[in-house]
This record gives sequence, structure tokens and C-alpha cells, in this order.
Amino acid sequence: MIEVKDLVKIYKQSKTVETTALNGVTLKINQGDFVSVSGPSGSGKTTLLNIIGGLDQPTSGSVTLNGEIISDLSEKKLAKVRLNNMGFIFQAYNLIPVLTAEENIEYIMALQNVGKLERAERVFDIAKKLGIEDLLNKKPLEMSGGQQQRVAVARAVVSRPKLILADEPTANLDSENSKKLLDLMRQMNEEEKVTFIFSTHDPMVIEKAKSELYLLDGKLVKTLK
Amino acid sequence: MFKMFKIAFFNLWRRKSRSFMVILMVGVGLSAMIFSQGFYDGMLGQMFKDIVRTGEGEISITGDGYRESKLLKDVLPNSDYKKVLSKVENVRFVSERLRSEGMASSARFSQGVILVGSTKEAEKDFIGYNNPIIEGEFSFPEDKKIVSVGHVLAEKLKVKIGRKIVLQAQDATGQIVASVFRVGGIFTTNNPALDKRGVMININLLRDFLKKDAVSEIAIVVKDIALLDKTNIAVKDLWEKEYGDKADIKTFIEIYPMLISMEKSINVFIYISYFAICLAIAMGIFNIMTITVYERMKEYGILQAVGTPMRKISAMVYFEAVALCGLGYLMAALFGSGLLAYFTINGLDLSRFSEGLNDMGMASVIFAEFHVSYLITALVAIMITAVISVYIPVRKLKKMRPMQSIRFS
Repeated sequence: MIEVKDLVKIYKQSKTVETTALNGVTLKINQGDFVSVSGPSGSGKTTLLNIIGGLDQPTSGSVTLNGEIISDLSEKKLAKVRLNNMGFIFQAYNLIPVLTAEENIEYIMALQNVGKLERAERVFDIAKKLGIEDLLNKKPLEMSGGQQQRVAVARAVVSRPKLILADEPTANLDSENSKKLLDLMRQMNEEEKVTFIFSTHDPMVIEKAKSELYLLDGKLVKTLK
Repeated sequence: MFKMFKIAFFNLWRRKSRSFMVILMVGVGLSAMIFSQGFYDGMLGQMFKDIVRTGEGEISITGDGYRESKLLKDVLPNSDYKKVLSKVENVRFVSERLRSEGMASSARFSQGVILVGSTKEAEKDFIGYNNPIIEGEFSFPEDKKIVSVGHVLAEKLKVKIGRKIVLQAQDATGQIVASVFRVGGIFTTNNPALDKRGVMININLLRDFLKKDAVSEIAIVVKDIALLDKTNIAVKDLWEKEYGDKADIKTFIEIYPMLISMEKSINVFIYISYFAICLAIAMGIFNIMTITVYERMKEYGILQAVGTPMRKISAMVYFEAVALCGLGYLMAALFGSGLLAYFTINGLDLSRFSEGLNDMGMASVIFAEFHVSYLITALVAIMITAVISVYIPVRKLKKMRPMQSIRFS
């Protein structure tokens, strides 16, 4: 399903200073995988997720999704690919500040033209599962970090994408909410064959993963089952 | 799309003080634009009207060669021209005058003058159309030797109402004649020639004085200025048919070419100042909109990341700019129109500068004009400005990948 080939990402900080975030990463992830990407800070975990999700462009190499090379697509086409196939959970939540939790969660479904009634049902279901049903009318700035994270998770999963990319999804959650979230992710993975790729430092998350990728200095050094 | 507009609206609301500043800036700038246009048009229109109306009219008829020679030998014979010319369609007012160069002397001073022979009734729609009298009465009866004089002339001769002046001129026989007249009125017309040298006298008295039963000029005001050329042709045709004599019939455009070129120059000046105001506003809006867009790059990046098509994001940014400028425009339309409405009725009193203004043929109280076209021009200008001001940030945004936008600083 996802094939990453010789992926290199170099960030130019100035004319003379460059940072290599990814250095020739090659990997394959199948439909229905539940993959954790771990490694020390600055090892390239977030960059890898961003490039797989088409949020960033590689310096060289390619990313293929279901047989289509998406790393070469225009932003216009990529937006469609993201909208219809992917869900994102960002480490910094990245909610839309002027919208309420409910509006944030249903935003992607609205873009997909899902009916209002169905949107409302799905929003309520997912909010209940994540324990945020009382927060639906609140705006991001009125919520704690953990609450915002759960709203961000709800936004990513509610549209039922085939691939969910999560950057440190449990970083701001307490152990109980982390467990709830992991259970939800596993349930979606098992029941709906949703592929999950998540970067994490959390041993509990790594433990739940079906496979583990370990990055060091931008290189894939270990692939564990 | 509704959601995008909602986000745009809440964003504007979230930054209330900044939104208000943009609206205020656009509002004040556009109000100035609308007001200056109405003010300049009013000033120019009034100057034109004063000079044309108190001068030779919109269509002027003189004897052949009189315009150059100003001699009594080139005048038209006395006839009831008014009755005949009033039959022409679109002719509104007609006045017959007899003019002559002369000299006016008071007890202490003398001054070269223009003796304008007419009647109060005929001049009420011409020289007297704008209630020009500032002292006494705009009256020059046939049975009393009373004249009205321009205010600058009165000042120069140091005469007041009721004082006597001696008028001298060369009559039709070539003799210098003189007579004493009493000043019955002092007028101001904003026509420098009349205000500085004009002496209004009854036409029959002047005919007797100059021993010439004649008319030197016929001034016509039309009903619809758009039909001026057509009316001029109709007057020429009628003249030829009725009198056969050669006469010099011209419109004010032919008589006052300087005035026309002055109008063009002032219009150029107006458009340049208009453009300068527009540019200043555009730069201000551009600056604020650019900062606003750049400040929200992260938010746009998030929208991009979750799959929002760029056209929707662009539409949202454009909507914000158009909404801000549109609200500013509404404020300006109300305030600018209100201001113009006030000055259309009450006029802007610049009497402190009346001397300088009068020298240029301008009134000291300027009445503004108002045309719907001012609002349309301002709307078009501000919408173009709004779109241009966000075009560059949007273009930059379009070139960026979502993560670049999210990380943008």
C-alpha cells in the first residue's frame, strides 16, 4: 500500500547551513498495518510522517500510495488524496481556533459533502468514545492540551480514512486517555482495516504496535515485528 | 463553502481591533476620495457656471467682428431678439446687452471700466442669477441714473451705496461723453472681469449715453447642456432666416478655450490626487492584509493539511479582504455622501481666502456636487485594491506545501 523509496529530506536553514532530516529511507507498509515509528528527538520521525502524508516534499526519493507516486503530485491533487484517504493527528493538535470542537471534528466530513445529520451522528459517536461529548461547544482555546488532542484525534478518525498518520498522539494525554485512544485505534485497525502509522516515544504505544520502525539520524536502522 | 466564510468571519471578529482599523482606514480614505471628487466638481462646475452665466452665456451672438474690435460700429441693430430666439427649442433664457469700454471716476480715484447695459429683468437669470448683491440693490432702472458696480471696483473707487460716480465713454460719433450716476448696488459675481471692472447700467440709458440704438451681444442659456451644439445650429439657422445679416454665433466652448483646457488640467490634477489617495490606501491595506495573511499561514497550512482545496482557502482570504474593504466602503459611502450632502446644501465657506479665490474666478463659498458615479468609482477602486492586496500573499500560499505553511514565520 505505501512504498517509500530512498527518501531524502534536507532542510536549508541558510545558504550554507543544511540539516538532513531523512537520509535514504526505504520501507513498505501494507494495508491494515499498525506501525510505530520511534527514535530519539531529531531522528526524522515527524518528517517521515509528513512526507508520507504529502504535507511536505522530499528532496529526493519517492512515496507511492496504492500504486500512485504521490510525492510528485501537485498540491491540488495531493489535497484530494489527503481529503479522501488520510487522517492526521498532529503533535501540536493544529485545530482551527475559530471553530468549536464539534465544527473542528466535522470539518473534513463537510469537505467530503457528508450529510448534516450523518455528520452530527458520527461526531457524537466519536466524541463519546473519546470522552469529549461535553466539550463539543467549546473552542480550542477553552480546552486543555489533552482535550484538544482528543478533539484532534476525533477529527482525524471520524471521516474513516484508510490511513491515519499520527505524530505523538498520546504525548499530551494521561495514561487513562492514552489507553482509550490506543484501544480506539486498534479497534479501527482491526475492524475497518485502517492503516496507522504513528511516531512515538511512549513504550505503551510501541508495545501495541504490530510493527516498529526505528529511526536514527534520518536513517531507518531497525524494523521490528 | 459556507464553513469557509464562517471561518473568515470569525477570524475578522477575532481580531476586532485590527479589522476595525482596516475598516476605519478604508472608510476615512474613501470618504476623502468621495468628498474631494464632489468638492472639486462643485468648485469647477461653479466656476464654469459663474463665468459662463455672468459672461457671454452658453451661446453668444455678437455682430460680425465685434468680438475682436469691441467697437460700436460692429454691433447689432436694436431688435426684439429675445422674442425671436426664445422660439428655438432648448433655449431657456435670453439677454440682450450693450457693452462699451469706459472710465469711472469717484471723488478721489478713476478706473477703466466695462459698461454693461441691460435690464434687471433680463439679468436676473444671467449676471444676477446667483444673488450677487452684497450691498444695496441689483437695480439699474431706466428712469433714474443708478448703476450697480463690481465689489472690487467699488473698493478701488472708494465708493459706497448712494455715492456718485462719473462715467465717461466714447459715443457712436466719436465724442467723449460723461455723465453722473449714483451707485445703487455693489455686486460680486465670481467673474473677475465683472467684479473688477463691471458697471451695470440700464440698456436704454446706455443707448442714449452712447447715442447708439444697438445690441452688442446676446447671451443665451440652454435647458439641456448636452444639446448645446444642436441648439447652436438651430440658433444659427433661425438667425439666417430671420435677419439674414452676418453675426458671430458661438458656444462658450468656442469662446472660452482657456476655460476648457483649464478644466482638463484640473481634471488631470483631480485624477492624479485621486490616484495618490487610492495608492496610499492600497499600500495601507496591502500592508495590513499581507501581515494578516502571513500571520495566519499556520492556520491555512492546517486547512491544507486536512484536505481543504486551495481554491476554497483562496476564496476565504479574498472574502476577508473584500469584507473588510466592503465595510470600509459602506462607512465611506455613508459618511462621504453625508458630507457632500451637507456641503451641497450649505456650501464650504472659504471667505477667508475670498480675495485669492475671486482672482481665479472662484466663489468664496463652494457648493459641492454629488453624483452616484463617485460611489461607483470608489467601489471599483477599493475592490481592485482589496483583490490586489491579497493576491501576492495568496500566490505565495499556493506555492507552499502544508508543512511549510504550518512552520511559516
